[in-house]
Amino acid sequence: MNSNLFGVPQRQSEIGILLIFLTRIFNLLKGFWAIIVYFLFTGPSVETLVYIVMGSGVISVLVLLYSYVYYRRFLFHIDYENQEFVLQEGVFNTEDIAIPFDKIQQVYIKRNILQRLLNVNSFVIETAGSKKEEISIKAISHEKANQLLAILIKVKDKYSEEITNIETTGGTANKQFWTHELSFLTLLKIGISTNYLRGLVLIFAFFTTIYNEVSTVSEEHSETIKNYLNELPGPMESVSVFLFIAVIVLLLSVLITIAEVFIKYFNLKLTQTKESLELEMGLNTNTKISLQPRRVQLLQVITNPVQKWLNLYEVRISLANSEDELQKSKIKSPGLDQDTVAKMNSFLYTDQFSGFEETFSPDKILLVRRLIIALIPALLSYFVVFFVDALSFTSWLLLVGLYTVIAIIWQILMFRSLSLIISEDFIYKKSGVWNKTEKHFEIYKSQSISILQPLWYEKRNLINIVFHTAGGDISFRAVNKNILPYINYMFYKIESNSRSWM
Amino acid sequence: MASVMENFTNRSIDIASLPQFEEVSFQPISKSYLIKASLQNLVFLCIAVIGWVVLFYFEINQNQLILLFIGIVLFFGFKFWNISQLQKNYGFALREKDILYRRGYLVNKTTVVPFNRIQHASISRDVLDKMLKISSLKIFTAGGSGSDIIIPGLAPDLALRLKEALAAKLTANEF
Repeated sequence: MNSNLFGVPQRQSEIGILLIFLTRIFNLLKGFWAIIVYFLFTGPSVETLVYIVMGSGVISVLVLLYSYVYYRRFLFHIDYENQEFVLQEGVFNTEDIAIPFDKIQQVYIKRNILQRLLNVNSFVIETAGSKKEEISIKAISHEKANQLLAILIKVKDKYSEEITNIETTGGTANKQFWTHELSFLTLLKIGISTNYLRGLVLIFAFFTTIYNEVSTVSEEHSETIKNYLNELPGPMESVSVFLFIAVIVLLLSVLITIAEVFIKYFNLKLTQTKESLELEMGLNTNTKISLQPRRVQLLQVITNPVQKWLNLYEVRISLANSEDELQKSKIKSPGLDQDTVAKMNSFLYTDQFSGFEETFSPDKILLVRRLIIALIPALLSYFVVFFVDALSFTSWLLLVGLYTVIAIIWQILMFRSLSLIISEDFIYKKSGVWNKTEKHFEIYKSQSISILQPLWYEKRNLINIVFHTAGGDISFRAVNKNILPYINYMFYKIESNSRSWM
Repeated sequence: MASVMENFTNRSIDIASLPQFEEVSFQPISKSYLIKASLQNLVFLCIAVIGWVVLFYFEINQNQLILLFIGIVLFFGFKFWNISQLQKNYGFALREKDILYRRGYLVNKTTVVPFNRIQHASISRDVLDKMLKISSLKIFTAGGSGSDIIIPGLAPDLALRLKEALAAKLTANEF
């Protein structure tokens, strides 16, 4: 490295003042173009013209002054000692930005027309974190830009090399242990079995709109409708037309889902090597992800009765790549059979010792409360009867009765499906009536735990618990306080474990 | 994962004998925070009253105005009462290996953050904090906003000491 190139704080090219000035003026013009055009068209008097010219003169001088100060205060350098790129800028409030070499994602040079004319470059440094930290030096000479680029790329690569070296030590031979590929048939199965609920909703929406249309039209033109209906061959015919349309809608929705599944998961391939699980998929955008066990924060296995019967399970994994972008990577991989899920599990979680295992269920009060909440809309809908004449009391009773029965059954099933299992190393949460979800994570990977007690739970000795992991929160409501020793056990696990969570 | 196996011992743990977080006694926060919360509420009350007066001035439907007035009184009455209740419930506690923060009256919430899961800690003071000579301690984890804790109403030197203690534990826990 040529010793201390860019080691001392320095400014941009002097011509940068002009660039800043012109950019600012251009921005001003862009901001006020409507007013300017308006003035030009109204034909201002000489007096106002003079004022305008004077005003713009003053503004120009101020902008020039601003540009100069901006140029003077804009200082950048490389701090070799602390391994950082440092930038100070700002006219009114000063900003001090330091980007450690290891946080640099990309460096590049670009120029727009104005910069081309003035023969300067933009120098951009992108970081992985928030947008705010992005650095852009607007006016730097070509020669300097290239020098800086070379230096930063060098240090950046050096750093990432170090990282990759660490990550690949010992695992040079990426031996394949097993692979799992989604066949054409499996993709088809997934497509058919995932989203028919959406198909049902579509059909429902379709029929309700049709019904609405018909009922509003029939009010206005009841006579013509009657005549029209009389002309129709027969009631059976019109029903079959409706059924035909419904089937088409359902097929269409299934087809859309299948297409979606194919585009997303085409060629999905899961390969286990010694170090990681490689996941590859996608038709037009090929995504390739490498799953390392220690990065996995939360694992979800989802299935529904039909998919279970077809031996299809979907696995969702929350990963932590770096501490800056945690929520970003959630990986979905559908269509895995039970065997593969088990293999994934045993690879991702090596130490599954069967110690104790305690299952917790929520208190009945949760069911009661959910039922009350679910029935409130039914009661409220009674008022609708008063305002809408079309709805008679009996039909309301019928609808509400149907809703109530479905809601009660659903809520009971929902309540039954909820359970929390605390084992020696894992927390499992099971939930879901139709789509059965099982989430689990290693205890030592939780970030913190919140224990909530609403006032009205105090007498019943109940609490809500939220486990905060880097892959999201998992909450479990209305559980008896006798879970607390296990929560304390979790703290013991987290705090006594020296393994890093990512 | 050979390294894991080396450290591995499978002694049995008597779960009941582990330290219990619910037995910890919490330290209350500064009384000044009650003033701060009340002042903030007062500002909102003023805005609401001004809004009501404007409506009154334009002579909008009398009944609605009365309803609105009752609503404002009830809402802010509840707020002031709730603030005084909340103040009693704010509390924090340091244990050897984690920090506990308790808040909430209607829903009492205790969050326990182990030191080895803290990303960083910072102190923040807004204008009211400066006037009342208190500060807030923010503790960030990787568990998202639900997992971060902000302890308000701490004496500035206490907040600083806490932050430094946390920072020391942070570095000690880096592996």
